[in-house]
Parts: sequence; structure tokens; C-alpha cells
Amino acid sequence: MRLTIYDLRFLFTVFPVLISCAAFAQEKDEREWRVNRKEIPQAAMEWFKDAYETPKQVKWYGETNESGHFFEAKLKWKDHRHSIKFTDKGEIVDIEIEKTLDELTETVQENILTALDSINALHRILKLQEQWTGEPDDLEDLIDEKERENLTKRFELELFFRSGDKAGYHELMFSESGRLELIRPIKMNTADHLQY
Amino acid sequence: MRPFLLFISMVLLSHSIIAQTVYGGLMPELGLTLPISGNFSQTYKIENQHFLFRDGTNENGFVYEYERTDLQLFVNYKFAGNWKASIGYQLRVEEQWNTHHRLIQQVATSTRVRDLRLAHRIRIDQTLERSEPFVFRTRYRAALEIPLNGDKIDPKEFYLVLSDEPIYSIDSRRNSELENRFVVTVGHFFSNSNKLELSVDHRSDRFFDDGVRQRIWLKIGWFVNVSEL
Repeated sequence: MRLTIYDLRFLFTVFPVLISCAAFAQEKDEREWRVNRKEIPQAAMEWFKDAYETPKQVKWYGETNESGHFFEAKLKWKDHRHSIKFTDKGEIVDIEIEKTLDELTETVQENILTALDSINALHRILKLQEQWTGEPDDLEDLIDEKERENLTKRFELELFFRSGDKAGYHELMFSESGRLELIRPIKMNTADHLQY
Repeated sequence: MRPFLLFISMVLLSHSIIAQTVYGGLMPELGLTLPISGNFSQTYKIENQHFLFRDGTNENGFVYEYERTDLQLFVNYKFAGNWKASIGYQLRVEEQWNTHHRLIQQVATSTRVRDLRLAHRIRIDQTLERSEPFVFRTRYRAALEIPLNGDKIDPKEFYLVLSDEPIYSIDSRRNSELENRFVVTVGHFFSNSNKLELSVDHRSDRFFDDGVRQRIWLKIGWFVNVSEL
């Protein structure tokens, strides 16, 4: 059979289109998506309204990951970004408040920077969050009364971390005093589509 | 719904520009990345161009021409975590089996900017074609990736990419040329090994001549990364 330019043209066109159809069967992984506030469990909505009385704009998200299904509220509150996580039953899991390093006490700042040095991590922090966990009522008091009782505070940092030839984005958990407790890599999506 | 509306508006926009005698066409592309070993990987790409333009003298209104097929091969070396250096070769097959060869060298990196991702690519290439002057090109591309569902791009979610790439070329007869490519892409992220993209690629060139030439290409691209399967 003689292959003409027309056959080749056909082949080159059909080939990518055919294969792209095969791309539609894929497994589910962790994900997050916007949800309407009507879908939020009543308990979560009640806690939220008690704590943050009149927030300007709240975005609600649904989330699934390896530990289950969650709902998350994100809003800007008193110049900080807050994100509040609830279980699918509406029980509060934690409050995360975005901060900058210089908003922490000097001792904590120093401890965190020393810990970063000890693992040769760059100081360029992508995201720093205070994470608060505890009983729902105590968490509510933290927001509406600015009162802290029986709550656990941790710091969650995201940064680019280079050690030898291995490098990537990592999530680091620090105790309230700034002691490094956990390092885990953040999986980044491949960037082929941005590079070729 | 949002990604769909966005794409429709992209198509409408490009259609309204095409109506003002801007040439262009369709470009399907397929990219495949495979591991070699350690920090080395290989990328294959096939892309072809189908030229379509409005012609008042033609009874169908449109003229179709097969333009070309590009086959690309890259060998990539990952270093310093988020950098990749690649050398590549491209074979271009045009109608009448006209071929030309291109050597490509590039470095690329991507960084996170809050929930967005910013990618940079610096590329130089050299084109050899029989009975045509040797062409040297230098180009830089910045691309911003924006999640369309939630804060980050998770499997089965959509994203938007805005990219711009100026290209400067000079040939052995000392003719120089400037081209710009502005691309708006809506992508669907199936999983880390699988991305499907629809793009409107606006190319403008002949800046040094009278009258800038503009072309709009509608692209459909599928990117597969086997090392992530």
C-alpha cells in the first residue's frame, strides 16, 4: 500500500483525538469544590453564625480526602484569612488563620527559623497558618470573645524545601512553641503542559 | 459550568476576530512524558496544523489546507528541584514532504504564587531547511495556571492557563522577525498523568513589516505523563 500525504494527514488527526477519548477513565483522589451554603449541615452553619456574626463574604467548599468528607468555610475576618473545617455531620474540626511570620512572638519566630536552618530549608515561606483545635464552644469563644481556653495551637507552614538534589514543596507542622513536629511533602501536579 | 462558559466565550471571541480576516485553524497536539532513570525523562510530542480561513470567492466560505505535522523529542534533566533542562529535536513535515529540522534547547521552571502556579520557559532553537536560510530563534514564555474549582487543581477539576511568549528570530541573511503568542487555555485535570486542554492561541507577527499579521489557532491538546501513572 502506498502511503500518501492524505493518509498521513488522516492518521495524524485521528490519532490524538482517539487517544484523548481514552483519557476519561480515571481514579478519584483528594479534591475540593465550591458548594452552596444550603448544602452545609445545620450544626456547622449554627456554629459558624454564632462565631462569625456578620462576615462579609464566605465561600463554602466540600472536600474529600483520605480521612473522609468535610466542609470548609473560607472568609476574610479582621484582616486575616480564616478557614474553618467541619466534618460532614457538621462538627468543627479546626480553625486555620493565615498569618505572616512577623506576627508571631519573637521566641516562636526564632525557634521556627532555627528549625528551618537545621533542615537547610529556605526561609521563603509560602503560607503560614495558625491551626486551632478544641471543643466547639472554646473555638467559638476564640473568634467572638477573643478568649482562649483549652485550645491547642499549632503552626502549619508551606515552603519550598531543598535538600541535596531532592526538592519540592512541603508542609511543616510546628508546636505552639515553634518545635518542628512533622514534615510531609505536598504533591505538585506535573507541569508538562506548562513547559512543552 | 464555569469552564464550559469560559471556553464558549473564548471560541466566540476568536470567531469574531476570524471574521475580520485573521487567519488561523485547528491544531491537535499530543504530549507524552516517560521516565528514563533518575532525574532524566523523555517527552514526545506530535502536533499538526490545519489551516482554515474565510474566503469570499469560495462557495463554502471557508478554505481548508493541511499545513504541517511536527514530531518532537526531548530529553529532560530535572535539577534543583523545580528546574528542568531539555534538549530536543523537531521534525516538521509539510505538504509535498517538505521537511525541516529543528534543534531545541530549553530550561523551564515553575513556582507557586499562593494558589496559582507561575511557569517560565526560556528556549532557543535552530532551524535547518533545504534551500532556506538557517534560522535562530530565542523565546521566553510565562504561563500562569489558575484553578477553576476551589483553591487547588485536584483530579477531575478544571483550570485556566494564560500564557504569553515573545519570539525573536534572526536568519543567516540577517532578517529578523518578532512574533508574539498569547494563549488562553481551559484544561481538565483527570489525574497527574492525564490532562486535556482546549486553547485559543493568538499569534501576531511581522511587526517589522507594514501591517501586523494575526492568526488564531484553536488547539486541542492531551498531555500524558507515564511516570505519574
